[in-house]
Amino acid sequence: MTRLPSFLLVSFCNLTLCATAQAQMVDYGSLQDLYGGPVTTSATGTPMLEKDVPANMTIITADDIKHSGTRDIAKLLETVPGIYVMHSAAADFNVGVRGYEQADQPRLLVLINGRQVYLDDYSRTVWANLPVNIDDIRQIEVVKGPNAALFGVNAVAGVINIVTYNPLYDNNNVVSFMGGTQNLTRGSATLTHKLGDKVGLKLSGGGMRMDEFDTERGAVEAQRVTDPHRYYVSFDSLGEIKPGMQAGLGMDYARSNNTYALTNGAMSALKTESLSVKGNWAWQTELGTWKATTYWNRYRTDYKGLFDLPKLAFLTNLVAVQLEDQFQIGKSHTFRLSTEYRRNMFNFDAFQTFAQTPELAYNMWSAGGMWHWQMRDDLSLTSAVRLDRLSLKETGDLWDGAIYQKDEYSRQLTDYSANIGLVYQPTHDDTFRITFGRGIQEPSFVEWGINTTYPSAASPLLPPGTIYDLYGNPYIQPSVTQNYEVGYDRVLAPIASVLRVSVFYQTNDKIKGATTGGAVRVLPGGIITATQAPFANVGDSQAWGGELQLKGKSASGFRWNASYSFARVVDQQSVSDVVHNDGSMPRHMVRLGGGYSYQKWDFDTLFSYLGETNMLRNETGDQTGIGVRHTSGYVTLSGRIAYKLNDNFTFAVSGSNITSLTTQESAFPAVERQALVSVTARF
Amino acid sequence: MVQKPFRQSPFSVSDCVTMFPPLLRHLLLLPLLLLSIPAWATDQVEIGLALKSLPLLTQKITGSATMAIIYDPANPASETDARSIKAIMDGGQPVPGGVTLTTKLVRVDSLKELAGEKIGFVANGLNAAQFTVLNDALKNSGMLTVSADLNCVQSAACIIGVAAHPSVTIYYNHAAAEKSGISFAPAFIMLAKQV
Repeated sequence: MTRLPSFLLVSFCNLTLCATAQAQMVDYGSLQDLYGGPVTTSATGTPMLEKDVPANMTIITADDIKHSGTRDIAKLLETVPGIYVMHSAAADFNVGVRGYEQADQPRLLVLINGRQVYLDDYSRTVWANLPVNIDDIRQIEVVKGPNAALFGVNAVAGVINIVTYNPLYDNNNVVSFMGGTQNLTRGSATLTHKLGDKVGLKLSGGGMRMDEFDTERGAVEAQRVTDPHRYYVSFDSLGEIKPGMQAGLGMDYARSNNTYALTNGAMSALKTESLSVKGNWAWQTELGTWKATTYWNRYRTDYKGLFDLPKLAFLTNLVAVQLEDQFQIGKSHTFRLSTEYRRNMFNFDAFQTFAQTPELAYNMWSAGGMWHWQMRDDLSLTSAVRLDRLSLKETGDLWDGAIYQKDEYSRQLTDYSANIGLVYQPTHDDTFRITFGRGIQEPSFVEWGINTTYPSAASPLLPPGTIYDLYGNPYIQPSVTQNYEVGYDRVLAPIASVLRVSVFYQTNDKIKGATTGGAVRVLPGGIITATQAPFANVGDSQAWGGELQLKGKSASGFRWNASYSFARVVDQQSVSDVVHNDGSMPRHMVRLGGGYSYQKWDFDTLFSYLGETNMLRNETGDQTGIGVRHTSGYVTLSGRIAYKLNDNFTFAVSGSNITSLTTQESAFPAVERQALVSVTARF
Repeated sequence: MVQKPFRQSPFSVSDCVTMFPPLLRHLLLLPLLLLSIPAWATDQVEIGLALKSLPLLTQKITGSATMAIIYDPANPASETDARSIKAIMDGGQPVPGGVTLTTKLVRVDSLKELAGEKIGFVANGLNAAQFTVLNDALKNSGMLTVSADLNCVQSAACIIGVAAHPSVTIYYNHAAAEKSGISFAPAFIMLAKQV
C-alpha cells in the first residue's frame, strides 16, 4: 500500500488553514449574539453574515416568526419581497417566486436542516405535513433564483432552508397551545435535554385540527373538501464524539390531511404520511472538514378526486448519501468538494382497468465543487458547479397497450448546474452583488412515468366504455432556468435600516407540464382509450423584475419592513397546455409591516396589496374544465398583540385577513378571516 | 496597519439615565455624544463583544474566572480607559455562559503579577514596545487577550480585536492564539477578519 509522503502532507497543511466549519458544528446562537444578526452556512458551507452571501438570501429570524403571529410556515415567507404565497385552502399553500406560481409548486428546494422535505412524486411540498415545530425554528433562509450548485438538486426557482435549534448548543424548551376561528385547536412542544456537555437530545411534537373554509365552491369540489388536521413528532440528537468530531441522528414522522390544490387547477382531498431517518457526521481534520449525511425519506400521499380516479396513492422512497470536504488554502481560498448518491423509487397504489404494476426508479450520482475566493477585504468571488448523472429505469410491468414500452423508460440524463456570485463591499455600509445561476429541474416521477388506466366518466365526447389512459413521458427533458441578477444593499445608520434593491432577468427553457391530451386510440380487441394529461416540455418562458425593501428596527422598540416587488413573465407556449405562468402570481406586490414593543407588550401589523392574477383553474375536476381565471388585486391586513406575563409565559392574539370576512386571494376558493388566541410557555 | 475607526461612546455614562424610557434616554444621551469623551475609549458595546466571544472558545471558560485589565501606567489615558473598563465590568456587565468574572488592574510593566488569568483585556494606549512585552508574556499562558485597540491584534499581543463601529467586526490573530494555546471554533475564525 502506497502512503502519502509525509513531507507532502506537511506541505499541504502549511498551505491549508484547515479551519472550516460545518453547519452542525456551528453555534449559531453565540455567533448571532456576537454579530447582532443571523449567520448562515447553507450557501457555501462557511459561516457568513446575510449581507456577505453570494446569492439573494433573506433570513427570517426567530424574532420575525414570533412577531408575525402566523403559525403556518409558508405564510411566514410572504414577508420576503418577490415571494407570493397562494393560500388555496385552509391548510394548503403554494410558494411562488418572482412571477412563477402554480398549485403543486414543483420548482422549490425545501429543506429542514439540510434534509429535503419536498416530495419526489411531483417535486412538490406539502406544507401541512412538515414535521417541525414553528417555535423550534431558529431561522428560515429564503434564496431566490436557481441555486442548485450551491444547495442541491431542484433549487430552480429558489431555496427555503428551515434551520431549527441545535440540540447540542441551544436549550429550547417551549410549549404552546392555541385556539381560534374555523374551530382551530393547535398544540406543540419541544423539549431539549443535555447529557453532560457532549450530547444534546431534542424531542418535538404537535397537532392541529380545524375546519376547512366554508367559502363558495362548486358541487364537485364540495364533495372533495376535507377538514385539515396534522400530527407530527420529531427527534433530533447531536453529540461530540471527540474534539472536532460530531455525529447526529434524527427521525421525523408526520401525518396530515387537507384540502389540496392540484397542478391542473382542480382540488382534491390529500392525505399525506411521511417518515424520515437521518444521520450525519462531521470531522475537522488537517485536510479540511469532512461531512457525511445520509437520510431516508418515505412519503405516501392518498388522493380523493384526482382525475376522478377511484383510488390513487403515490409512494416514494428516497435514500440520499452525501459526502463533502471543505478546506481553506491560505486565508483567501475556501473550497468544497462534494458528491451525492440518490436512490429514488416511485410506485403507486392505483385502480387499474388493465393489470399493470409500474414501479419507476432512478439512481443519481452527483459531483460538485465550490470555490470561494476572498480577493480583497472588500471583494469576493464564489463559483460553484454541480454535475448530475441520472439513470432511470422502469422496474415494474406495464400493460400490453401502454403507449411507452418498458424499455423506453431506461434513460440516462447528464446535466450541470452552476452559480457565480461577485460581492463587492466598498464601505461598511454598501454591498453590491452580481450573480448568475443555472439550475436544472429534473422531471418528476409523475411526469416521467405515472401509468394508470381507469374507466372514463360518461361524456358526450367519448364513446361509451372508453378507458382513460394516464401516462408519463419517458422522453421528457429537464427544464433549465438561468438567472442574471444585480443587487445592492445599503445600511442607513441614521434610521437604523437596511435598504435592499435587486433586479433580475430569468429564462426558463423546456418548461414541463401536463397537456390537455385527449387523443383517442382504438386498440386490438376494440378497446378504446383516451389519453389524460400526458406530460411534455411545453415551451419556454422569460421573466424580469426587481425588489425594493427597507427593513430596520430602533432601540426604542419600533420595527418596520416595507417592500415593493415587480415581476413580469412572458410565456412562449400555448395556454391550452396545463401550464400558465404569465399572471400566475401578482405582478405588483406591496407590503408594509410595522411593530412596536413597549415593556411587556408587542404590537405588530402587516398590510399587503397584491395585484391581479390570471391563474389556471379547473372547477369541474376533469380535463374539460381547465381555464384561466382572473382575480382582481386585493388588500389584506394581519396583526398580533402579545403580552409577556413573565419570563416564561406569553399570551397573544393574532389575526389575518382582518378587514374582511372573506378575501378572494386567488383562483381557488376565497380565504376566510382567521383569529387566534395563544399561550406560549418557555422554560 | 489596521486603522481603528473613529467613534464616540454614548454608553459609558448611561447608567445615570437608565431610569428614563428608551426614547427619552437616547435623547438625553445625544448631547453627551458631543462632549469630550475620548475617541479611543473602550466602550460598553466593545466590552460586550469581547465577552460574547467566550462561548466560541474551544475550551470554554466555566464557573469563576479573573479578567486582567492591562494598561500603561505612564499613559494617563490608558489608565483612565482601564478604570472605565473595570467600572463597566464591575457594574454588572452580563457575561454569557453563566461565567462569573472578577477583574483586576495589571500594569503592563508588572505582567509578572499575572497568575493564570483566563482573560486579559488590554486597554487602549499601549505602545509598540509594550505590545512586544505582552506578546512574550503570552507564551503558553492559556490567556485570551482581547482589545478594542486593533494595533494590539496587529502586533500579535492580542488574539482578538473588537470593533463595534460602524459595524461589528472581529479581528483574529492566529499566531497569537497559537502562542497562548487558545483555540476558537472554526466558525468564529472564518467569520473574523484574520490579521
